[in-house]
Amino acid sequence: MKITSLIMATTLITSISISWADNGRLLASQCFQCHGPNGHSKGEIDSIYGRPYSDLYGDLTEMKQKNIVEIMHLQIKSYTDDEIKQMAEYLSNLN
Amino acid sequence: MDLKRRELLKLAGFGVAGVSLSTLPTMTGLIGQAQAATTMRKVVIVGGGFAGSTIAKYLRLWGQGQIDVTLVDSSPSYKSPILSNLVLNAQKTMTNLSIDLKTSLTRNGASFVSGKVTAVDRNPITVNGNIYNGHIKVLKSDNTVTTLPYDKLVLATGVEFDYLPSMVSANKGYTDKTCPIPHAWKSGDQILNLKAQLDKLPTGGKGIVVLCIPKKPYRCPPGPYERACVIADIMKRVKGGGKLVVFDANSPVIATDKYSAIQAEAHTFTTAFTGQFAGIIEYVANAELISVSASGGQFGKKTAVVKFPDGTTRSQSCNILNVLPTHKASQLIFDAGLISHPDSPVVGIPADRFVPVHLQNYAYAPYGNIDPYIHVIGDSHKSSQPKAGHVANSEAKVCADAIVREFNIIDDGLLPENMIPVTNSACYSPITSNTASWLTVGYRYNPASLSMDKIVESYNEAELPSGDNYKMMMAWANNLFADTFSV
Repeated sequence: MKITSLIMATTLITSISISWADNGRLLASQCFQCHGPNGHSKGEIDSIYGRPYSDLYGDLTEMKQKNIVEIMHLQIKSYTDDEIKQMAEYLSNLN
Repeated sequence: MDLKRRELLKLAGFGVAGVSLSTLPTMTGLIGQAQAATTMRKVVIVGGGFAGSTIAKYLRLWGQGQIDVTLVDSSPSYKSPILSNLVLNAQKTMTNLSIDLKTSLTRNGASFVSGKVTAVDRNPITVNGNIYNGHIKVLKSDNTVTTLPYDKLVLATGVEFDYLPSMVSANKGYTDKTCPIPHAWKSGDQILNLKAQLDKLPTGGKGIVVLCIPKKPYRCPPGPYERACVIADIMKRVKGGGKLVVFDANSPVIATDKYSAIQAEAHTFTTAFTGQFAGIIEYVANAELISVSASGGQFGKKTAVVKFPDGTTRSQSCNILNVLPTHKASQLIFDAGLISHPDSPVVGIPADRFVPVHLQNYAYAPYGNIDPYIHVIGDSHKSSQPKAGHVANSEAKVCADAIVREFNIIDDGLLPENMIPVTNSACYSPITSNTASWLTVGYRYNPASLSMDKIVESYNEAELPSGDNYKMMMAWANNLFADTFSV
């Protein structure tokens, strides 16, 4: 029983290539409510996995700087520059 | 119930004095030599809603195969309250909003037990030579009793209501599907009941509906006002109008503006109530419900009586009476002795409607002490965060991350007591059958006050309800359901 669950979990983990280096894992997971599991969106909302780090970081910081009444422009104001970097790094490594 | 209370670990000052929580649950050296090779930890979760299902999934994803996760729910199928107002106007069916928990949980390697928790025992227990921090007993749907030992217990059991005695008596002898005065605030049969009543509401503008909103905090701050709009829209489109009286127990922030009592998206709902639904909705603030009555069953006549701060009362008869009662944590939380009801306080147990927790890891935190073996997430816990599914998912991830750190499964140099969780809430509210608005806000942990502080710059509502927002609402819900339930 234990061995079975261990094997299943290992399979899942390798399939999403987790980086344990920093807090990007938890920060990025907070995007998935709207952007789908591991950033794979099912509909009109953008998927956010595997995009180049510089694109993601650039888009997020631009949205943070602009005062526009849109959900992402507001959400990103919750995070520090360091946190946005960690988030973007983690998301860019997802596939 | 078989309840034994164990001495809480005295950790006053955690997060301030820098006591390392990571050393505590590894007292699960308690776990014993036999298990050392695999170090499987047992986490038992009660409640399969947005909080419970999310933490089950993320403990499996982040636990590196070292966490054995079992989720218990009294029902094999979870019915989402999110989008349930759209069952009322036939944009969704209850089947669309139902999740088979066994299918959902086994997809991530967690186990599901369908049954009712009959005991929470917080004393250490030895099972097969391994010592655990406590156990629960579950009366399963096949009438057998099972014991589930845990290293950590996560309670994600949602809300329960304090009903007026007159509401209990009016609904006595009826089921959720047929009771005369539904709350329809937990999805499922009560929503189908309210829909059946709306379907039979008189046409020609003759129907009268009363919706009663409880004092905060309650589940889903914009939800009651969203429901008012959805019902008014049905009345306007297919019932030839009619009257919807909204009795709100909350008080206006600005004395001269009754609409300032609206608890969320005040701009959106004030605009809707005074604009497109002006001929239908009568909004009454400061209206505390004091009694209800019903005659003639589900489709009969009902009456609500409310009291105002000056002591005057108003009685309103209606075809449909939808009462959202005062909220509290689930009964299991009270039975487990985590809190006592403010109306019947117990010495030594916090007298509260919701559970005090440490907001870095959602560990039970009575009187500032921490019990590292019990976590409470979602609508049963007490904080500034709203009670709602999206933010419950967010809290569950913070709790899952803390648990894998406390189990020493992740060793990235970040100590649990140094983590600064950031959570987010986002939701869409239907205003009509093809328009919606939205609300969003973030929260950040404040290590000085030990609270989750609202991030003011992140907080706003949609400028206008729109058809685009309606489409985005479905996209949001699809992704939220996928992230939470792996559907």
